[in-house]
Amino acid sequence: MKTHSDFELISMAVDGNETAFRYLVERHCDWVFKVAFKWCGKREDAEDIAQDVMMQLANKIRGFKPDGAAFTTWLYRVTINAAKDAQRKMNSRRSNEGQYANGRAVQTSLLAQEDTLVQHEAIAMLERLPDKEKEAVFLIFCEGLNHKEAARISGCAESTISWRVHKARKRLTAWANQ
Amino acid sequence: MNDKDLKEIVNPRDIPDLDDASRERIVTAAVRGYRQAEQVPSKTSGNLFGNLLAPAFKPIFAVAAGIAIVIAVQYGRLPDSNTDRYNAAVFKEYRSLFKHELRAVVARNGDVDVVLGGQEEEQTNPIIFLRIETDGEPVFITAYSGQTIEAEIGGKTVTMDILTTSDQGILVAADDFMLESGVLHGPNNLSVNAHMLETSL
Repeated sequence: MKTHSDFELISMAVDGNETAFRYLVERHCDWVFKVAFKWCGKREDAEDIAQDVMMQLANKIRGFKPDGAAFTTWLYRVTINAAKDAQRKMNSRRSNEGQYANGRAVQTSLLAQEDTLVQHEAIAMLERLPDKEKEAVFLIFCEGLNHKEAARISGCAESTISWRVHKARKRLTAWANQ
Repeated sequence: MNDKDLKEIVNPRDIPDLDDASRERIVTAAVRGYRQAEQVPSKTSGNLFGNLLAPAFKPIFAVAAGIAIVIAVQYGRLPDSNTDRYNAAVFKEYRSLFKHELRAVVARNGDVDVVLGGQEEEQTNPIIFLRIETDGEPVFITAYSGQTIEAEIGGKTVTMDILTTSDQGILVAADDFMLESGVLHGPNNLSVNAHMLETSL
């Protein structure tokens, strides 16, 4: 079954084949974990996000049309939304504790001990970006997607992605020059 | 900040692998969820749309839809049509004065600014009507598409490109906001509405 494509595994899982569903989860959970880690920068949170995404897959797979490309897009979208939700929870928890605004910043503060101050400040600046701009920058520059793919995942026009990247770049440059 | 800088900022140095125990925990939880989801009856037939189309609800649905259509036809388009007629009349008045020089009319609090092109050139592009509101202060712009217009909005001068897209959509790109296909990207205290001026001049 490991040789089956996503398309085939989804079809089988839709029909109630539990083994196919298990293979599908095993195939994608490492990838989801890495995307989540890149977003939030914290291992435990990335694991929770990966589990949340796979639970959503369990609940929704019977409604899928077995289309491989749409599945990957869906998985990206759900992962990023789950990461954003987790980050919001972290932010409120950490703001109560008077710490940095999010996991990436906390991770960065540790990295900064052995890294340059410039790099630390640069990453902290990224965290100040509005969610949608951060998402566009993340998909393009972290995930290496093109604007069309990023637009499909974010559910907006390609030009909107370009606009968000443009705005983010402008903000980051202004903050860097402050 | 160039692409290389951005890539360096976004990408963490070390991305750990998911360990076997965590992977197994995630897979087990997901499979359990899959089993439970199988036991829950599908909700598709119980959603609002499904219920409205059930035989017992069809007459009610039909009457409600009929009433909604009548209301929409009688009242729905009237305010828009009136606004269009008014703005078309104002625009037409200034065009009669400035002929091919007129590019846009900007109205605010009863004051009207006329935007003229540097030279006389017949304008054939569609006319677009914009309503931009910041903190409760509306500004109305009637302009030929394809123009770059400067207008005072929220106490500062904003330069914006007003364009039509290939699919007859409207694109407004300004320093601080962008409106595309009815979706606005910009500050929270800003609202922007745009449509083609349907009334002929």
